[in-house]
Amino acid sequence: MHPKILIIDDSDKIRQEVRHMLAAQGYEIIEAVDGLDGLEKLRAHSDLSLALCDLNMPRMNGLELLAAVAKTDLKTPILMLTTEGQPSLIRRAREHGAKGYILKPFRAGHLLDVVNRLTATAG
Amino acid sequence: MPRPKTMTSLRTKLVRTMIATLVVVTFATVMVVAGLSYVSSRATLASIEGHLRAQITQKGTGIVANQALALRDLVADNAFGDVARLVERTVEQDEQVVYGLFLSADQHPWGYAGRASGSSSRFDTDWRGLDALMGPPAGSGVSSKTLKLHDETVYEFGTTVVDDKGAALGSLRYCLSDRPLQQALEQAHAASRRSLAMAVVVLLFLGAATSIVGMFRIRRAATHITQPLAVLTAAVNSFAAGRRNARVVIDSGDEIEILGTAFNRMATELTDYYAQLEQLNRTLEGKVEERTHALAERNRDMRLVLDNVDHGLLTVSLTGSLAPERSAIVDRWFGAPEPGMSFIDYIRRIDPLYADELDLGLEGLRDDFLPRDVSLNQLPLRIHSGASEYQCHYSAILTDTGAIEGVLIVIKDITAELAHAREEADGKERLAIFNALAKSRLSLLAFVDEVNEHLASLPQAPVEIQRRILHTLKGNAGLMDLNLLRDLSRCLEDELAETCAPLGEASLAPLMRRWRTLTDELRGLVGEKGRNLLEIDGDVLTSLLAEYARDCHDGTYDDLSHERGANAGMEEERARRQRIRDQAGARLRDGVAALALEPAQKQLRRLGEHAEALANRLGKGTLAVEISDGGVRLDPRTWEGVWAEMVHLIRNAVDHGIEPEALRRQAGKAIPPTLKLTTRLVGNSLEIEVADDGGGVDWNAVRAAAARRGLPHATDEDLRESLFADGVTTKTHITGVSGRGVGLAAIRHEVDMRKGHITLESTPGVGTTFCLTFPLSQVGPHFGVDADGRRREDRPDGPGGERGRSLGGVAET
Repeated sequence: MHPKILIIDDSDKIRQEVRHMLAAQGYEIIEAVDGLDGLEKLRAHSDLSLALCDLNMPRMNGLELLAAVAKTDLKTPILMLTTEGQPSLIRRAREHGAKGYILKPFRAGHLLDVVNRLTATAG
Repeated sequence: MPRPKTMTSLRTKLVRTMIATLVVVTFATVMVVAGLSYVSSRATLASIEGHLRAQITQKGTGIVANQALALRDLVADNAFGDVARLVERTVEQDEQVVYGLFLSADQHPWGYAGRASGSSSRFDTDWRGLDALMGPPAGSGVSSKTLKLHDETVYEFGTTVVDDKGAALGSLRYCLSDRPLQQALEQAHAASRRSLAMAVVVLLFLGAATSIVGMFRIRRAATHITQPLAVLTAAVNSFAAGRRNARVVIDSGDEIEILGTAFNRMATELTDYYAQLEQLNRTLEGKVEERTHALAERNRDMRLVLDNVDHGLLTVSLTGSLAPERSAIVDRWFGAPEPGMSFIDYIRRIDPLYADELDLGLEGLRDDFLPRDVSLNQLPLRIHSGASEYQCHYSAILTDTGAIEGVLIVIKDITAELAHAREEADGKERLAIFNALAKSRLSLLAFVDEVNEHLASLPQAPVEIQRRILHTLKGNAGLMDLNLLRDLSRCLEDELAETCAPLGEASLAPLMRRWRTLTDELRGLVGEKGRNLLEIDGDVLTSLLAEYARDCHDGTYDDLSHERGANAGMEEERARRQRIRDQAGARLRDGVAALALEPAQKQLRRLGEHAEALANRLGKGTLAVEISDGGVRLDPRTWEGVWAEMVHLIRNAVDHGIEPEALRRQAGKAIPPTLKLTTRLVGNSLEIEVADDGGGVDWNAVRAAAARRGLPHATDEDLRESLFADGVTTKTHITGVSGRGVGLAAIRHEVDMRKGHITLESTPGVGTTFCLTFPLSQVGPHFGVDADGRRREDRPDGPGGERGRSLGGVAET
């Protein structure tokens, strides 16, 4: 059973980094390049364990994506990826329904710890 | 509110009950006795009445019966007068007789007498009227009737007088009144009433007397009975009021005595318990005092530590409330918090951004959605307060069950540390400038010119150009140990990658400031004139001059010259000597001109050193660098651009190309790996080459990267082209060294600008060679020795070039 993780980020490198860190641990990674793409993929894959979402993206950014998701009945937990020093933005993300945040650049083991825990509790 | 209970003493209750009983009993007795008396007197009276009546009857019957006999004879004799006299006499003599009458058989009254006027006038009535009243007496014997006569009850007795033969001679009647009866009865009644009254009075008197005496006795008795109870009550109250030695002595021989004994026992026990309790209390108080004292001591010790430690120690609950126990230095740094103030609000006065980030972090810990360590590690690390910087370290405070209940924050004032570090870095960087100036002055100056030009264009440049400039600046600054500059460039590179929008003046300001500082320093070292100073190797100059001198001398003044002069003629000899001098002069001039150009070897050596350092840093072990410069010298100012971007090829070779030692051993390749750096003049071109014996280009990765970027990736040509495109990298993540996909594109740009081209040869498992080729017409002033050993030159002042820039000016600041 490969838990599915969705990574929504317009940066190639970030998506690659996420894939690099998680694929080897047995997670299936779905990629999306911006908010709209992310929304599509959220709808398309009903068995996602978790979605990781950047805040700054073209076409539809992280906050807009959260607002759009809130209107649906999608239940996938969404974590924001963000750099330091933006607490007000993160707070707004939480108000829009994000479950938490992970700082970029990724610190050693954080991403894996988070994903392991969240997929374990999801069962 | 309940009414206050009214207390009635037991004695009173007892007295009341007993008296009530007494009264009731007395009364009842009196009533009963009186009733009985009455009843008996009535019975007596009734019997008297009966007797009296019987008496009357007897009398009446007697009279009539006797007279009837008497009259028999008379009547038989027709003695009317005797009969009348008898009757009259009878009535006269006996008051009780109301009337008497004798009626003959033919109803003629022979004798009648009634009460005449006087006292008994009532009965004076005509005998005829009487008949109406009564009928003839019935039969023989005496019959009686009760009649009413003038409202009085009378008794008539009558009989028929009969002769011997039994024939009725007449009827005789006598009527008796019951007045005497009545009178007698009345008297009897009166007597009985009197006696009854007497009896009642006596009874009442007796009753009252009994009651009164009884009352007194009752009261006495009640008091006597309840007195022990009162004693007990008093003792209990006394005990309850606090006189703990209250006891009773009761020997009333009843339950109260038992109660009294029980009370005594209880009182004693209670007193003992009280005493014990008081003792325990004292002991407890003593212990508490001891403990408080010990605690106060510990507190003092802890306070001593907290007051004097130079790190800020404080604890914060998950909701952000600040515990009062914290080191004193926190208050000195940030001021005293208001009582009850949360840590978040407190620190917000100092650094609002930190406060928000901490608030967010604590929220995350409360949610417990992310793993606890992740949440802890994402808590903000720096507090910025005016001119001071503080570093924060967090530890979780756990309950016995392992749940997190708070966070311990250790704050360190790193202002001085940071300032010191900055100073050190600043000093090192200045030293690096100085070193660079000393080691390769021209190169440095050319670098400075190039950076000035780039930085001037940076604010208005589009994203891609900004990225390229910053990337190159970072690389070169790193090469030259200008670490602050390098770090600033890296930060801006990161910011650019994150926001994907051109950086504005505010973001670029720190970089510009630093560069200005460095160039000011440099200007100080170099001076205005210094730009034109050249670095000349003294040995080279000396040898040039020596060569010139030797040439001149050898040419003109050899052992045979005199003879030659003698043989050939003076003119020829003079001409020959002049030729030699001219040739020597030309050689000298060339040599001097060449001194103005920088030997490529310098650059190659610099690149080689960088490659070795990089290999070390990346754990690729030692590197064997081979340099072949072909005697090439180039004008540093025009070639700075290319040399600057060469650093990317070096990086490429060391980072991507050369395999780790273990892999090389496995593959049986040479240890140490080799990097060849070459410059040469070939035909009409200048060639610069970087060759490694690493693993070659991973074309699959390149194809994938190109695909991701949407570039054509079908043919080999496509792949080679894509390698030089912007944003293509085969690295999966960004390290400090490479992975941003900028390097090869940058060098391609420099090569294109000089109308050259890059070629790439790569053999998997063997190695990669990058070759930059430039047409000599575009090279500018140069010197070199080509493959044939021929010296090639394009002198700064000579034909084919001018002292100047063929690539456009590099602006002077």
